Amino acid sequence: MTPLALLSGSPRRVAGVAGAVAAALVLLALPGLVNPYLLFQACLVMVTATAGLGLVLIMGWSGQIALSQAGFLGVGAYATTYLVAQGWAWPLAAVTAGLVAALFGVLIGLPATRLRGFYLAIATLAFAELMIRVFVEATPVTGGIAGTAVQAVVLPGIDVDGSRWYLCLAVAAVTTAVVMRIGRVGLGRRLRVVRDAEIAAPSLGVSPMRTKLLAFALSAFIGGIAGALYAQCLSYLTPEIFDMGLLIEFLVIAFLGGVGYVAGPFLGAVVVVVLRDLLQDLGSWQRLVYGLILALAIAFLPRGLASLPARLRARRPAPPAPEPPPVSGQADLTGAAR
Amino acid sequence: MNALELSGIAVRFGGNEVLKGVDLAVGTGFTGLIGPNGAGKTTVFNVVTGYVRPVAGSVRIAGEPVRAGRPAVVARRGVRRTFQTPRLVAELSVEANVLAGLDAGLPPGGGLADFLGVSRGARTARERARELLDAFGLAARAAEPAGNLPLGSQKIVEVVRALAPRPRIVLLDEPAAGLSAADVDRMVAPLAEIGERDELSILIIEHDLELVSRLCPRVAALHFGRILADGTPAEVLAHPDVVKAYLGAGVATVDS
Amino acid sequence: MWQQIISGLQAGSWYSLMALAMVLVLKATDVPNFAMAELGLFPAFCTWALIDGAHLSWWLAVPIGLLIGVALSVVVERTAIRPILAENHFATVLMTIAVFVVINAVVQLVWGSEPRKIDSPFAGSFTVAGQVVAYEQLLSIAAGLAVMAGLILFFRTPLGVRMQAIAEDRVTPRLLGVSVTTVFRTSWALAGAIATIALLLQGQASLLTDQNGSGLLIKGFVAATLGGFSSITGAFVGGLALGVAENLAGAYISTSSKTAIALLAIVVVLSIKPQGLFGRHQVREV
Ligand SMILES: Nc1ncnc2c1ncn2[C@@H]1O[C@H](COP(=O)(O)OP(=O)(O)OP(=O)(O)O)[C@@H](O)[C@H]1O
Ligand SMILES: [Mg+2]
Repeated sequence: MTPLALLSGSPRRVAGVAGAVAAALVLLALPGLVNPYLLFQACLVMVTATAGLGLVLIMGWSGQIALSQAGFLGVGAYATTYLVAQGWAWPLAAVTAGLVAALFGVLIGLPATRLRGFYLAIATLAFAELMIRVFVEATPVTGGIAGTAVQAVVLPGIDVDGSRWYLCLAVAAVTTAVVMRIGRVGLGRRLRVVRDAEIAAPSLGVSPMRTKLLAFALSAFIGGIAGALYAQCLSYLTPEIFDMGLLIEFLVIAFLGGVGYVAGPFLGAVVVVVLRDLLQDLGSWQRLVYGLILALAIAFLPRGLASLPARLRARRPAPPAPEPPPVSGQADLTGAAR
Repeated sequence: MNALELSGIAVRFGGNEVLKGVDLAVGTGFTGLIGPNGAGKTTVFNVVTGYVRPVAGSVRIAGEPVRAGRPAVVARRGVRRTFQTPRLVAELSVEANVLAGLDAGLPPGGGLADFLGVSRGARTARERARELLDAFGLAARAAEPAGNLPLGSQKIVEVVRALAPRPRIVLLDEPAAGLSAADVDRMVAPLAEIGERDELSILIIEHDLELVSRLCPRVAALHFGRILADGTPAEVLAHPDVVKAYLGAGVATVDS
Repeated sequence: MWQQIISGLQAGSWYSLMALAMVLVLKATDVPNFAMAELGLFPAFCTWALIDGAHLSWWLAVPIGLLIGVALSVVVERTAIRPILAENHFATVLMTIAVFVVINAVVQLVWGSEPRKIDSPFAGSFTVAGQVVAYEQLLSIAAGLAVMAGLILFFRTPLGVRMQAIAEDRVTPRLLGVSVTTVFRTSWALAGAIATIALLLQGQASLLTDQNGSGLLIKGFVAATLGGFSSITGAFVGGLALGVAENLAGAYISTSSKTAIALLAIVVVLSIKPQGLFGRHQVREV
């Protein structure tokens, strides 16, 4: 499609394209538009949203309650930092770290794909806790309790803050495009078939086990890459960064935003980063507010902020269209194992 | 050679003997499988499609034996089925649900080509899905979430999903149950046409004996895990054991 | 060696109690409760405050603490869990996580992060065959045994039988006139009291901090998983086994292996026998 063809479309379409172009330009020019502090906050939005996209894949589409994402972030962060310290280029180190995280994802996924519901939740939670022990013990790589410093990536001709921003923006953009595409092609279909019609899946020639494993690997890979970025934002890594607090933040992001939607993690991330900034001096109040928001989001907006436009649209036409199907069972928590 | 052959199939769940040596040969065209509730009809389907492992007996597809317990492998060998209650993905469109039936047909590495949008298989799959939805009168609702469709249409979507990959053998589990008369016609006419054109072997479980007689030149009656009679609809329905099984179904289930 | 086993049984009793509370909630309402330990943590802190701040006697403060535990669980079940139970299990699991976060934050806000110790009349120890045994250790083990026995008896009473019926089938018991509401409330109330006992025992034998909840939560889950989540005896034995294994590993392998044991146990057991060591195999419908 040529740009001209785009412009000849309906006014709504033109407005949409114009909006997207304007948003892209603002994002690209952001380092010149806002102060370094805000730019840093924007980086955090991109990082948390990227990690959240992994949750869209595994929790939203494949319907598995995986509480291991914080662990994968840690694997990605430590591995990238270590490899860069060994003289690797950052992009290569980050992709390798993503692959290492994916490997861990397959390792936890192998037993986990045989489990359902809360057994899976517990196994993945235990895995995340175990990873923290590993980060504490693997002193040569992670620096143990004392931690390890992260070498900042500096792009030629750009300052540290700007470099960090473009790195985060690029990775978030690519991840978004990839995840959106997955949602539309065969893999996205198979993930949902395994979630909503697991019994039918094999009769379609789709292996639930392999599909779930792939979901684990992909979401862990995305988590690992997000971890590599997170390290750039933190500049110093210690094990407790990746503990249950981070997991809870991800859950807030995923559920507040809408766990089945690609836009969800971005909406959730904006809210969480703004909240974190507003509440950072308040210590425990911050956790209290997180907890309350999570509870309210689950109770009143079970499909998240990203579901609001569709809900409003569904309400508008005169004979009310049937409500969208409930968030289709997602995970079946009643059965333990097959 | 018969498309599908079951010999001596026995299935037990705990102490419950559900199939007790079932022999059944299914050739081209429609074959009806009838029997009272709990006779074991769905279990026959589960054995053929690899969902349930029989304790004895063998299943052959086009003469080749099937290894039990590998439903995905059986599906790739050209055996497709529907379920007694439709199992669709409510949030995906009708078309996407049909495409799900075609996913396994992509060549290895097809996933990447599909992802990049350069897969020829994916394009022909879409055409195939449209063509079938059109034949079954669902083209207008192809883009709607499947969950929005009434149950009758969902059952038709499942039939379309089963037919999509051009299987050799199709197993339909009570496809007409819960459908309006109009829906039954909407499903049966194209099904019969496609079945004839593609020389499919279709095994159909159905309680509507009138429909079975109309559609199937051959019928097998199952009762308490045994084939009571096997022949033309007129023969089978006149068979004294079958008559007794149907009339005495209520009594029989109690004293089993 | 004996010393390790006795302390292992003591800690194991806390894990067992936590696991029993979780199994109770799971059996009746089918909810894996990530907030279970916090539901005992808050009342345990209240008890500490009553003894340390209000100078109440232990014999008075502990019953009040248990009542607070019951009340808190009932309120949480009514306000946070029951309204969304019909939604889907995914939402319910996350809701229990949200409750966990909220209660933990409240504990931090009210009592800070300093470790506390609940004074009890059971200080001191005695010597048996050259081994020193603390009264606290006996108390923990006895409490665990008593609660397990009580629950086994409870599930034989008419209400207990109904609770199990409801966990297995939501429709039929209702047709028979069993009140689901009563069953839900009772199971949460009992579980709240049991979780409070676990944290009180831990708080008077060692220390009470805002972190005790998450620690016991994981241990309780491990114990319940080892037991298969369906069996009361399984959960109890699972907890004791975990406590002893941890203490032996801590003494004979390394201190850091102590934490890892529970987590490794869960991953290994779930991969080898997903329905738990004592669990029954569940049949799937096709
Ligand atoms: N997975 C299973 N585990 C235990 N028992 C089973 C299982 N599947 C089927 N059964 C039992 O086997 C018997 C036959 O079931 P099946 O579903 O094959 O009957 P059917 O002929 O399809 O009946 P309907 O007309 O009601 O669909 C029933 O008594 C059923 O309870
Ligand atoms: Mg059946």
